Amino acid sequence: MRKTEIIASIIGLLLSFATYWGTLYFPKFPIYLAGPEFYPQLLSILLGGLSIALLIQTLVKKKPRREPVEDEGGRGPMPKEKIFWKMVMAMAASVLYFLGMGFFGFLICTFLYFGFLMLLMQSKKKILKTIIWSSANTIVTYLIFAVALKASLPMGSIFR
Amino acid sequence: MEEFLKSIVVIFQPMNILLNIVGMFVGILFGAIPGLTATLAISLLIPFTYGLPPVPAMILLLSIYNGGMYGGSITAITIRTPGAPANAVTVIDGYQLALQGRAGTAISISLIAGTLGGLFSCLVMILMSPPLSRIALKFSPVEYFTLALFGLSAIFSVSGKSILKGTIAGILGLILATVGMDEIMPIPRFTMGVKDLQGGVPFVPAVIGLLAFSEAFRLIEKGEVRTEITSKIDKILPTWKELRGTLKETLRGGVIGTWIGILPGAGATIAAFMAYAETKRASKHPETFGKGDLNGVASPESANNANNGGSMIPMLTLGIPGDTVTAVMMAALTIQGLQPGPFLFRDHIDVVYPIFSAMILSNLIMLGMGLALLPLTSSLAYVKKDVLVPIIAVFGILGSFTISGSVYEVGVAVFFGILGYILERYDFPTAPVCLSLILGPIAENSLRQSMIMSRGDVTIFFTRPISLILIVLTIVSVAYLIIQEKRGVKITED
Repeated sequence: MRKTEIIASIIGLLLSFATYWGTLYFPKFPIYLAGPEFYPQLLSILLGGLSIALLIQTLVKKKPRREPVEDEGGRGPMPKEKIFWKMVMAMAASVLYFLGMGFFGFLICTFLYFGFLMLLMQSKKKILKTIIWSSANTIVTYLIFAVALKASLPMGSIFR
Repeated sequence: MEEFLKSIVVIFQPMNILLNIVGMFVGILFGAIPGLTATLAISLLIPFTYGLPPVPAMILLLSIYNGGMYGGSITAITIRTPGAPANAVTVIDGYQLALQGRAGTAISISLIAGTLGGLFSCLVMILMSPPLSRIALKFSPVEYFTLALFGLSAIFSVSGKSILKGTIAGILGLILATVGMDEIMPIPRFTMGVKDLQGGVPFVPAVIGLLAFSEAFRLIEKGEVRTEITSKIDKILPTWKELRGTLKETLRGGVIGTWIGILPGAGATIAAFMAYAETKRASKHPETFGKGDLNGVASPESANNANNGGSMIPMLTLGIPGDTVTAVMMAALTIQGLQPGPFLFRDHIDVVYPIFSAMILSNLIMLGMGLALLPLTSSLAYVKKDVLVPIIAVFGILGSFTISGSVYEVGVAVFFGILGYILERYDFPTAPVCLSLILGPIAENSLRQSMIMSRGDVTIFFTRPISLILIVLTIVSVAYLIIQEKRGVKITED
């Protein structure tokens, strides 16, 4: 946790510098501290100051370690590496879902995305249950969004 | 009075009653499932309000808000797991009552107290809002900036474990709120050449990401968690003696909850804790608290529901949300083309009074539905998360898509979902980011307008009475929260 807080402080400082640096390229208007750069500059200084405060606080005070994440119905802590990859897969699937929707269409993408997330959540993989729930959810969401809300969901360029 | 009577006719239209019932059902459902909250439900259902007129849209959201608060008490009592932080204090006596076989009585007392607390806060809202909005009509940008600053002090109370980290998250939100076309000088800021960013960070997809998506990711990280069944619900209705014995403390909770709700930043959790502490302090038998005292359920549940009505007052009259839920509601009104604040009362009174009446009706519907659905809702804690999480994720993505039918909003939701998850993972709360995203533009524009008015003289904020009072209030509230943190009092809010 200590390490991540140091990294967070550094990211905060970098973001603060980047924000301030970005404002230097704004056109200047002589209007009593009220130009477009004034407020973001103020915030970047505040962010920089707070990031330094967090860094000092972390270096001065050593915090207790984070509790390990319980998994599989409390059967024991899940290895950190496994959690990391599980989360990377969940996030990647979310990005692929919305990026792929235009090409493969709403129906295929929703079915696959729903099923994939279900499998990620399950300690014992239940394929039949996953297929049934994914199919049902895809139909229900289609009825809600496309029929009831009249949203023009992408049907996929692959089928044109 | 005439407007109020007209509003009753509006809210009793069949469609509005149906939306109230649907919203209440969704609210109770989300509240009763541990890990899901009314805030999450509201952020997921905002896209459903786009096609609705303003009044039905607000009816739907308000009933989710009320239902969610009650729903959270069910699991607090039955399985010692509060549905939301505001129900945490209910665990103390509620769970003890459940162990004594009185779970049904405890839940129904929580429901009745919540309803009465909610109705009390509605009364205060109806009486206080119009005069407050008339005062606010006279506000200049100077008062608006200090008001926004007071609203931003809420960041300190929604900071979770660390005020420092919460403030950093809040500043991050304020910086993100500056992205887009400058409202005073028309130049793009931090858009990096992306045309879509010129309109700024869209609030609704950002909130869906920060609240719904990040929650889905967090639940994926936790994996399947089995819930142990500890109590059965047999007897539901309390006796007249039990009910009468809690009325005084219900009223106490209602007063505290409404007052705390009006103050930006305090929130339902603090209201519930304060109400519990006051009830115990005033009790002739404080030793019974923690061992299954019905007043230990009635008072905090009345307070957290009364907080709902209280928190609507600054949002509707001043355009300043005091917490995440009211920030999301404010966004919902803005989507409808209505700007919360004093002009809402001047120009759209036809919307304001139905909102008041809908709050009253919503509380009454909560009482009826809460009792009717008790056997069902008490078993919601055992709903499998492997089905729920994908539903949240898919609804989040499709909800964002329906905003404008473009993948840009979906991308924003996914980006903020990942950002929110990473922030929460390392104890940087997401609630301050949400608040800052909505309050940021108000604060910036009023600050800069004030500077132009005063020709760069910052003393203008200290020479106007209302502004000075608001600055003092901000300092006092921030100092209080910092002192509380130093004393080790954990203040958390969803």
